[in-house]
Amino acid sequence: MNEPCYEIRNLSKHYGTFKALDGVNLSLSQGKIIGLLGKNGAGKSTLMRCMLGFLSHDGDVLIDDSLLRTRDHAIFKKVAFIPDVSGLDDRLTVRQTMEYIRGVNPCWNETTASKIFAISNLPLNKKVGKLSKGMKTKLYLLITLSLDVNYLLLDEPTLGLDIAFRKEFFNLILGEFFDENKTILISTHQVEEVEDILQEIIFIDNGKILLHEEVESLKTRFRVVSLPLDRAEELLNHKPKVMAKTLGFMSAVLDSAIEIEGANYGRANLADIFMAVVGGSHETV
Amino acid sequence: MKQFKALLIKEWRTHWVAILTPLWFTAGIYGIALLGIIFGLLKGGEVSFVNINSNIPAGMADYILWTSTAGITMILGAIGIISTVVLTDSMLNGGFKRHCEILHLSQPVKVSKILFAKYLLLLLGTIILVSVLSLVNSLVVSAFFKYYVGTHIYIGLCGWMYGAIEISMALIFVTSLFWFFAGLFKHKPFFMGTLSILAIEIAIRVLNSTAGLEIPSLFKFISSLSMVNIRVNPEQIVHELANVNAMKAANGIQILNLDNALRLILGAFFYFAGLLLYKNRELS
Repeated sequence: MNEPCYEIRNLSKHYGTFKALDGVNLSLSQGKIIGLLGKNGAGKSTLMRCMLGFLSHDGDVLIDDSLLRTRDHAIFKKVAFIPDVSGLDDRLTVRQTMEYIRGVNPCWNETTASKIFAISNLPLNKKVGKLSKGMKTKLYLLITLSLDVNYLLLDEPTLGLDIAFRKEFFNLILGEFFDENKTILISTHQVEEVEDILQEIIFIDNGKILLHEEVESLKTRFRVVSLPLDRAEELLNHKPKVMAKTLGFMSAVLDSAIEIEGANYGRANLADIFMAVVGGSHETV
Repeated sequence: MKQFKALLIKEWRTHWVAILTPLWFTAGIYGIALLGIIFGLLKGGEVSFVNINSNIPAGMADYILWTSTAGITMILGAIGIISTVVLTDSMLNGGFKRHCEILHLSQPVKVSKILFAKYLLLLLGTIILVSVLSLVNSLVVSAFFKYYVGTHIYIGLCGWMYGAIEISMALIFVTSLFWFFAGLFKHKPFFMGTLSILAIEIAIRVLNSTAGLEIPSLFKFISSLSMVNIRVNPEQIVHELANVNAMKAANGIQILNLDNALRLILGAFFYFAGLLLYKNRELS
């Protein structure tokens, strides 16, 4: 495994009496694409914002061994971030937005920017406020990809976008940004779309990290087990957090070590495993 | 320097309409005057820009010109103050309200540099704009006085200079005060700030009346620093205005008074307090 570059130790964050993050420990390595998966309100956005120093917190966040306690502009020489809301300045045009970032951010790479903006079809003289949601997200992404940084944090970047654009978004990230020296942390609800590009996955629930593992290793640890409906009791004996009923069969994601005679076994995807580990809103048992 | 230039350009591009409020106001006045002349001509009247009685005694004409140019400058300054009060909220909290604060604050730029660019454009930009516009206006008025009464243009310029200095000092104080409130309150800082002053004032009055204390009024103190007074004795002006050096000396004395010193000190204090509050904000 590569050396950890982003180290989080015992990170906690309170909003009044509400504990948004509860003793989070994480090590993110260089050259990885990592997924951050959790339900709404699980603490994904809070974790990312603490990792950027946007929120005060207890515990330590270290980037390349440098401790980040509060907001520190210097970390943005290494880290870029795309938030969950379209966070561009509506009052500027596309061109003015590019000029602004080029002026304030020394990590701006003119060669990369020229290349990706040339194929983007973004209307340079149009006000950002007049762009569609997809165009705004694209602009944010292209600006971010024009920066020579080592870490990219994406907080549900494709929320509300159509499938074609979502595909283009992730293709751009893979094609234009990622290499063995860079780390990408993606929080998304559309896990099935990024499943193939993720190398590691983190499950977060109620502010706690439930799991941080390599995707392939995780997929070998779990599998989908299906039994006829009249044998559903046998599945329930293994206390699955979620069960699904389909075409006369009852299915559940169980540990691969569990063997049930006469059962059908299938490969579990990340969404299945997530439900098995975290549970749905209406848990069984 | 490249970063600072980019920050200034960004602030200008996002706030130029509000920053130029004194210009819109002046253009409006000139526009109305022009329309009046056009309508007058259309009705068959004669072009009459001003109605200055050429029989005004020289000393009194000097006084009228001086107060006119100082007054014009102060009115424009008041417009400038209103626009800066609105702009402090827009500049400090606009990013938060438009959900673009994260974009601006996730760049490798010191927050102090970002805020200094905002403050500089807000304050210096307004002072320069008000000064230039009022200088043009003062020159126009002075030219008419020179033509009709024979008053020296320099007297109008002295009035302008006095007004510009006084209004600049008031601008520094008021802008910085509301800068501080904008740093303190993300929502409705003008209302919340004014409410805070009012609450403190009520507390002072209650304490004074119940405990027999003599705490000075905060409201009066803030008002005295926010407003511009023509403190010069008219009699003195009438007799001394002709002497340019005396006027220059009078202006010098006006700059170095206690009120202006307080305006500068409090302005600096409120600027840094607003900066500190903004720096320690959480971004969510």
